[in-house]
This record gives sequence, structure tokens and C-alpha cells, in this order.
Amino acid sequence: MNDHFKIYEHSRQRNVLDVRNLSVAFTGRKTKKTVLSDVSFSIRPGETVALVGESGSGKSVTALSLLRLIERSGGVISGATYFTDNDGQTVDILAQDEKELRAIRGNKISMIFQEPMTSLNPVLSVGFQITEAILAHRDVSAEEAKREAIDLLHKVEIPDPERRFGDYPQQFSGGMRQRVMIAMALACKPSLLIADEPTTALDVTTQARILDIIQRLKEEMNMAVLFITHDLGIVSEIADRVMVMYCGSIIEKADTRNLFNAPSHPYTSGLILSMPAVGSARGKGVPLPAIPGTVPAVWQGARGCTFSPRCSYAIERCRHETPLLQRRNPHSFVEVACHRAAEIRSMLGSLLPWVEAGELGITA
Amino acid sequence: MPALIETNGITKTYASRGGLFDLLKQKKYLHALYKVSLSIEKGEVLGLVGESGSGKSTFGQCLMGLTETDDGTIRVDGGDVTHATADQVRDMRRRFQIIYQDPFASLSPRMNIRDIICEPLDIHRVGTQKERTARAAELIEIVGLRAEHLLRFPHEFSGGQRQRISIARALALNPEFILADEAVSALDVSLQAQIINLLVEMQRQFSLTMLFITHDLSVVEYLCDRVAVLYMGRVVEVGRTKDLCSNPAHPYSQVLLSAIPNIDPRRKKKRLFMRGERFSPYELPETGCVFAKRCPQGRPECAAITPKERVLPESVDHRVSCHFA
Ligand SMILES: Nc1ncnc2c1ncn2[C@@H]1O[C@H](COP(=O)(O)OP(=O)(O)OP(=O)(O)O)[C@@H](O)[C@H]1O
Ligand SMILES: Nc1ncnc2c1ncn2[C@@H]1O[C@H](COP(=O)(O)OP(=O)(O)OP(=O)(O)O)[C@@H](O)[C@H]1O
Ligand SMILES: [Mg+2]
Ligand SMILES: [Mg+2]
Repeated sequence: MNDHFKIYEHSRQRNVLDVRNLSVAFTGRKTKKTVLSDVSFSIRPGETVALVGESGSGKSVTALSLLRLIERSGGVISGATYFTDNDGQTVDILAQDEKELRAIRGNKISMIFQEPMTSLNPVLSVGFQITEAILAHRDVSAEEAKREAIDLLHKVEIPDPERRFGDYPQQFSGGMRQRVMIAMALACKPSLLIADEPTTALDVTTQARILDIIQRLKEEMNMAVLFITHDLGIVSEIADRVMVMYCGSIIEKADTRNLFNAPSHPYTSGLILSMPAVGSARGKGVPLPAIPGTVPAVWQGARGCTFSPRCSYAIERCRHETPLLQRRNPHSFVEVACHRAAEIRSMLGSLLPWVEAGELGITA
Repeated sequence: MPALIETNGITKTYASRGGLFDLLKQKKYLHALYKVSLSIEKGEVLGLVGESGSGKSTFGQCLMGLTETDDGTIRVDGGDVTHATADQVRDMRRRFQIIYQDPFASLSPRMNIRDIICEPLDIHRVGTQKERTARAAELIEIVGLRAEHLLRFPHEFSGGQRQRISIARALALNPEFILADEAVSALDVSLQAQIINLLVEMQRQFSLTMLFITHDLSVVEYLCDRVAVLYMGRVVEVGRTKDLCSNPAHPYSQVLLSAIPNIDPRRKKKRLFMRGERFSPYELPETGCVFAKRCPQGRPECAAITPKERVLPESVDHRVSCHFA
């Protein structure tokens, strides 16, 4: 564990992405709604970092801000986002002009969206669209691009790729469209893939294959992945590190092992416990321990922990003093934003059915 | 318990709708459903699982009378509704309700919540306007929202809240049967848990019979009494949820179960993958097991002889279609 982080410290300057104090606000005529506040994180080449949280917590806004796509819907971004490409060139994405951005988007940084139709054009055949994606950024012949496109469709398990090449997005099932979009995103072998719930609509066997494909291509191309999901099962299988987001802030950062064996934040623990798991149900009708309520649309209170209204561990202090994201202890690389983290940690751990009493030994 | 719904060998065939060049070729056919026989008892929740394209929605659509079958029969309360008359269809539309996957697409954006919930009552002319409004107010609280929400519009609600609204709407006519087609699949974990708990509660409270369609086997244990596994339009295994989930007999069910990412490190299993690549449903062999080509345990005889469904010895109606299970 410590070695892992030593390497991390050592290679800090080579991070493919360094995000510093990223904030996003939507401003109306009189109102200002801050949906992302002071988000900082980094991703190393070849690393898979998961961003998890409930619907509305700000995961997609984070993803869209990294490529400044959020500006199109009126989002105002502040902070800095340093991107270092495979040649070692570092740029602050927030300081780039539109032309420079276009050279990065879909080429060096690729994104797969939650909803496939946002990146597929309904009036063009899928084959044409993938071929175009290849031709736009790479110097290959049209035939070569077509061959690659068919190969990509094959890789994402579209049956009969040659035959389906000329089909339009509507002629594919929802699951297949998602796969077409993934093929398109991988066309230019990006150094960072931002995947926003790419497998949420897929069935489990396809999901397993897609995750496998992403993992394999990731290793082949030394591609880093920012994987956005609300499925902690996926996180436990593919992520090296995890960031838990709530209401526009990161409330816990940990390596995957620590997160699932010794969660530090009550929200993280709540998310883990509400996961249905095969073999864990105590029979039909025994309710799942769901976190009550929902993510507030905008955090109204100026102060206090955003999770406190739903938190069963909240005390008076939580309601008026905002907890900062900080290391769990000076020797730890786990960061958590909770006043009571030290106090309740062993209790949170003991709620997990797979953590034996006295086995909370993971401290790094 | 008598069956509320019973299908006997229903088959649904679609013709290929390829591009222009396909017009020159021979037309191909696929069986979205092939000889599917399943029954759902009164008050029972049957889970229907399988990969995308396996025919789950088609089966649901057939039960609801929204799609014509090509062969086989569908019985409701023992009466044949396979070729339902307009009256029968109308009756079924009242007694059978659907909750869809996408709470964003299935609620009309221009209607307020009161009108959305009351729409089935309006269509079937149940009660006066005042009674309908009262019913909407009652339903909205049953699903965990508040009466003041009735005058708002769908866009003002989160995904989970919209799914609660869809459930309220589905309950409006006091249905006997609810088809939940991927009703929790689009929701995030904590909402999924909330909605599963709500569905369980509603099912108990109103003694609902349900067909719960999902591609995620991990949720069926919380909700379903029995589960049927579909592959390429065929039922390959059906049994009590517990039996099927703890002892899947068909190799495809085993693959499905092993593909679910499980956060419980004690239950992390070796992942089983299917052999080869997905093939087109138009290219199914005429004989043999439909899963043979992709089966991790496939043997030569699997491709030659079509397996018959049989009940596993010493089981409670745990049926499987595999020579070697
Ligand atoms: N264009 C926009 N204008 C105003 N508010 C927005 C806009 N886009 C997002 N928001 C708000 O920002 C918050 C975070 O939304 P976001 O889409 O990032 O959530 P998410 O974590 O991706 O959720 P999901 O799991 O549902 O995709 C929400 O409260 C949302 O309403
Ligand atoms: N109107 C149609 N015309 C032609 N083929 C169709 C039509 N509707 C469905 N199909 C085909 O029938 C098969 C079964 O589709 P169905 O929608 O029932 O699958 P499903 O199990 O519900 O999948 P998903 O999990 O993606 O919703 C698929 O191969 C599909 O392409
Ligand atoms: Mg999102
Ligand atoms: Mg379907």
C-alpha cells in the first residue's frame, strides 16, 4: 500500500490530469447556483480512477467541465485543469481556445456519455460516424478507416459488423447504441478516457465484456480512465482509486481496498450498504438498507456538512461547520470530509458483513 | 394458487429490416420469442432475466396485448386472450399496468403530476373529477411524495421521484397485475434500493401479481418469488429465486450470475465468460441448443440435439433446458 503511494508521489509531475479547485456555477439573471465546489484530484497515466455518487451529485458536471463542454449549457468554470499528453506537453485546458480544444477533444481526451444519442447523429449511419471520427484526427485512408471501424464494432460485440455498418442508430437496440458509442470514443486511442456511466444501460454480461475491453485497451495504450458510475460493484472491480462525490464536493478519496473495507464517511458506508448483492439478500421482502431522501438540488445552507440532513451520525457541529477534505491521519492517504470520521470509523467498518471483528487493520 | 397469466408455447417472429442491399438478399427471420411457456400465479412476482435482445420486453408486450403473437396461447384467469377482442383488450388495459425503465421518457413533460396520475382514470372514465383528484392525492402519499407535488411538472423531480410518480400512476386503477420493465435499472444505488423497497411494499399491500423484467440478477432476490432466464427468446431455466441464484443449473444462468460485479469480497467468484462472439439472432441454427455456440461447457452433442425442458430431481419445479445440467 505504501509503495503504491510512493510511486504516486514520485510520478506526480507526470499526471495525465491535475485538477485544482475546480468550481462550476450556473448563473441566472439574479441567481447563482454553484454545483461544483473546489474539486481537486489527479490521475496518473494508465490509472483508473472512479468517481461515484448518487444522481445529482455533480459527477457529469465534473466530466463535462474537464473538456469545458459545460460552458455550452451556461456553466461558468473556475480553477485549473492541467492535462499532460503522451509527449509530455502540459496545457491548462481552461486557458485553451476553441481550436486548441478541438484538437484535444475526442482525440487526446475522449468521452463516453451516459446517453448514447448525445454523441450519435440519428441521420448518419453508425459506420460513417465511426469512420469520420477516425479520419478527423488521424492520417489514414478511407478504406483503412472503414476496416478499423468494422474492427471496433466487432470489439464491442456488435453482431454482424459488416452487415450493420450501414445501419442507422435507430436500428440498434439501446444496448447496442451504447456499444457503438464506445467504439467511436476509442477510435483515436486517447490518453485519457472519461467514461460517464457507459455501462449503466447494458446487461451484465455485455457490461462485463465492455469493462474487460476498456481494461484491456487501457493497458495496451497506457490510457488513463476516469470512470463515473453509481455502481460500487463496478468500482470494486476496475478502479485503482475512488473519489466519492456528494452535492458538488468530494467527500472521500481512498484506494479501492480501503474504501470497501474501512469506509471513512457515513455517506460512503451508506452507499455500500444499499447495494443489492447476489447471495446477500435475506429473502424476498427484507428491505435493502437505503439511504433516506435524495441529494438536494442545490445546497441551501451556507454552512454545515451537505450530507448532515440525511446522516444518522450528524451532531450539532455538523449542521453549522463545513468539514474540509483532509487526510484521515498524518500517515494516511485516505482523505475524508467528516467531523466524526475518526470517532465512527470502526463502527462504519463493523456494519459491513464481510469485515470480521478486529479486522479493521487497513490503516494506510 | 391458480395462475393469473399463463402462456403456452408463445412465439414471436420478426423479419430482418436490413438496409437497401438486403432487399436483394433473402429475407431473414428471428424468433424474439420461441415456444415460451410460463405462468404467473396470483400474488406472485416472477422475475424475467436475460441479456439485451433476449426477448424480455417482447414477452411483456405480448402479455399486455400490445404485440400479437405468431403461435401459442395466452390465458388470463384461464380464459384465452391470445387474439383478444377490443373489449378484452380494454379490460386488460385496466387490470394490467406497466412501469417502464425510463422515468424521463415515460412521463409527459407538459402534464402536471395530478394529470399524469389521473390519466388512466380519465381514459377509463373512473369517478368524477373530484374523486380522481382525491385518488391522486392518496396515491402520491402512498409512494412517498406529498400532495403539494401534484401541481408540479415532471422536470421538477429527480429520477427516483419520477419513478415514484410512474408507480403511483400504475396503481391508479387498482390493477391486479403490474409489468415492471427494467423499472429500477436506470436509478442509482440508493434510489434503486428505495424503489425496490417501495415495490415490495406495494406488491404486499395490494396483493399485486408482477412480472419483473431486469437484466440485473442481483436485484431479483429482494423482490421475486421465482425467476425465469431467457436466452435468444427461449426459457433456458426457471425456478424459485433462491434455488436459481444459489444453484444455477443452466450454464447461461451461471455466466449471468458470475458477470454481476459483487462488492462482497467473500462472494467474489471467478468470472465465467461465454465462448466466441455474440452472433446475430438471425443466424440461429435450426437444431441443437441455442446456447451451444457460446456455452463454456458446450459439447458436440449440444449442437446436434435440442435439449428438452426437464424438472431437476428433488427440486421444487426447478426446470432447465440443458442436456448436462
Ligand atoms: N445545464 C445545467 N444548468 C443548471 N443546472 C445544472 C445543469 N447541469 C447540471 N445541473 C445541476 O448540477 C447538479 C449536478 O448534476 P450532474 O448532472 O453532474 O449530476 P450527476 O452526478 O451526473 O447525476 P446522474 O447520476 O443523475 O447523472 C444537479 O443539481 C443538476 O441539476
Ligand atoms: N419491432 C421490431 N422489429 C424487428 N425486430 C425487433 C422488434 N422488436 C424487437 N425486435 C428484436 O427482437 C429481439 C428481442 O427484443 P426485446 O426488446 O424483447 O429484448 P429485451 O430482452 O427486452 O432487450 P433489452 O434488455 O435490450 O431491453 C431483439 O433481437 C430485437 O432486436
Ligand atoms: Mg450524470
Ligand atoms: Mg427490453
